[in-house]
Amino acid sequence: MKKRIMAIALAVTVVISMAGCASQSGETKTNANENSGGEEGSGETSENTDVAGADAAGAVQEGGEITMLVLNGLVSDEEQGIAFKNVIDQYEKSHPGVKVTLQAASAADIKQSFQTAALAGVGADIVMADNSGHAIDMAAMGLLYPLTEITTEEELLSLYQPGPLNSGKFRGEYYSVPWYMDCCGFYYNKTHLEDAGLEVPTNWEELSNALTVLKSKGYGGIITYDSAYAFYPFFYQNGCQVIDTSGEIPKVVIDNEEGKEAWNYICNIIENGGMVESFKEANNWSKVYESFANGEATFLLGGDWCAGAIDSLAPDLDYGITVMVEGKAPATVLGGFTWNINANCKNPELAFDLIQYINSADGDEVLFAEGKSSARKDFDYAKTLEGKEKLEILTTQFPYTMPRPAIINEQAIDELITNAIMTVVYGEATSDEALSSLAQKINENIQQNYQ
Amino acid sequence: MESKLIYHKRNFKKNLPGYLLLAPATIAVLALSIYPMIRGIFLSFMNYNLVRARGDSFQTFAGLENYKKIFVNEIFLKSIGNTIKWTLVNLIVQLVVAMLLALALNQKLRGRAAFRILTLVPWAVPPYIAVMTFTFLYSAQVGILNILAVRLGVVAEAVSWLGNKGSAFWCIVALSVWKGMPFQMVFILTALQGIPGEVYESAKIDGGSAWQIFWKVTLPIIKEPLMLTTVLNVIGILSSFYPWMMTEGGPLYSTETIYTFAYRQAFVNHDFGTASASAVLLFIFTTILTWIYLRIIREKN
Repeated sequence: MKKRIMAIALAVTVVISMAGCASQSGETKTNANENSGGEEGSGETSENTDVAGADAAGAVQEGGEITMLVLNGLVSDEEQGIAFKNVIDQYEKSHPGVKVTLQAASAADIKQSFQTAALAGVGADIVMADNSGHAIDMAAMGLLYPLTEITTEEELLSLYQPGPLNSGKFRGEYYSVPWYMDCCGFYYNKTHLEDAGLEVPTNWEELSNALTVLKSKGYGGIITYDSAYAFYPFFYQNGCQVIDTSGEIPKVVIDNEEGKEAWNYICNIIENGGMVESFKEANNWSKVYESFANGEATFLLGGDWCAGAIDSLAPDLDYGITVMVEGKAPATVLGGFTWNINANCKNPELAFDLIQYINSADGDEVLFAEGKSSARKDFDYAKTLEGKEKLEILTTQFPYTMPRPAIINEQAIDELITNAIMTVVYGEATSDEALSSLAQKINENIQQNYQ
Repeated sequence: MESKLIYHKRNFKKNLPGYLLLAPATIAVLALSIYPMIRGIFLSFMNYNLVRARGDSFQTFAGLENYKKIFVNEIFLKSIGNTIKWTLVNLIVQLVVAMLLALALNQKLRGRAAFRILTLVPWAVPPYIAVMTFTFLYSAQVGILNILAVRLGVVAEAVSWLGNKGSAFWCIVALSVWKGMPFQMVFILTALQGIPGEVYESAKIDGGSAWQIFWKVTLPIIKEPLMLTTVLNVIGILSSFYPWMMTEGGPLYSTETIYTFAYRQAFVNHDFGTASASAVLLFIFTTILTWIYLRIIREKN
């Protein structure tokens, strides 16, 4: 009997602790909420409004402490880490009395790490966030400070590219200051194309033809990350936003005429064996680079970060980079990171000032170190591309680079789209069936999160 | 009455150092296990979707709504089947392999110590490293499994073992068995070593075959530790995170268990109410399995 009680007690503890631990993070949720948000959707603030209303310059002059949660690479001994430390040191020197503390997390953990702390009413004052909807989730939870309390919409629009800026816009309010941006480009294996007697495809039709010819020659087709990321451009190029987020409640448009056309094109590629086998298991970018570097895939759809990884994996690989194939109009999808201010931050003006400094020309050395492009409109691309000329072509896409839908739980939406693609990959559904089921599931998701 | 009070006081004073020594562990268990557990049960009856934190219903009583929600969720329903399959397959395979290895390592073999150490290696490997290693082994590009399969003509072209619905589950089971088996083996081996040699000798004199000796002598003697290790193993298997670490429950939720579903609800969908509800159901599932197992053992007794 004793043993049974012991065993059951142990089981109880192990299993439920998981959910309970997670829940602890939400306990002081209300505090964070009270700090940052007011009525639903109004973007109104309570206590922080008074603080934010104070003279920003004065607040900065008074000094204070700011904690930043950034990616591991920025707090390392590598080139980018050293450059970032330099920029922070310069800021501290030029702002006596200001102390900046850096905390680091991996790209996979940074959101959750911040979320847990902020929900408990603490956390770093500034957090770096992927511009793929992370800020939207945090804003919906009331964890971010609304930027128009510190600056104006006009100022933000005059400084930054619209795509990255809109990636942090939730219910009419800006929550993210864009830092660097990238976009999905088209990598191609020159040797494969030459052997197959093909030119680099520039539009949908040429891409379909190229995939057919390559297959007949025994070469693999496309590799990309097993997510919706690289498929968004096809919808955007056809004039379909996937989800229209302009209204109060997002509207699913993936199944409109333009969406259907783009969806059928993607499914057609899949059904004709246009994706390589590794695509099925590419749940991290390393597998994408491997596939392309090993010659399994002829084309890779990905951002500028892929180039460095491919070069280190296969230094002798003869490959090129160009803009995404064009549909009815040129379009591609946005990537990159933003800065966000914690709703619990005691000195949001100082936090914003620091962000502006890092984002200014004074902080560009950090981006130069990694060949990244600032989301600032006046950024000098030539400098960041020195020695990385191959990537220059990708920056020409910036004027028509669009963010993923600024929607709550973008990660869940991404998963739905990916799974719909996978049902076609595994032959479990026709493209029409997959699309109608997908539209229904996205609608249900929106209903759950907005209504 | 007064003398009783004095007695208790004295007793407390006498045992104070013991209480103080126990306090840190007790506080840790209360704060890190018991409180989260109670909180988890409580949350399963609450509206607790973090992305709806500004809504009127946030943090209000939901009754059985979260349970209703998950029972109409097709991913959750799928995860129930997967959890049962995952638990049974892991449990049986781990038990059989661990038993065979323990029996083998209980014999007087040359290099027995080295073999014992080798079989413990998987246990010592950190879970994340094990996941990375197995993912690499299964890789469609550079995985040794594919290289061998293609060379031996088992498959014509490299296959994405983790990317296919039919194989992903079994690939993760293989990792789980490899990683979990030493734990059970150590328990069994320890129990086997406690059996005096005379018992086997007399069984042999009585004319018992190897199978009869195992079934009628060894197994009844090691039954108690075997029961304990199996119960612990069930808990470990049910709360295994390998399906998430290797495939994130995919492809198409073919490796989704109740545990990964709870994680998905909490950290992808930010809905801690339904996440807690599914964790509570997992607890009930664990309790039932444990109860059935203990019941079987008791009946055999």
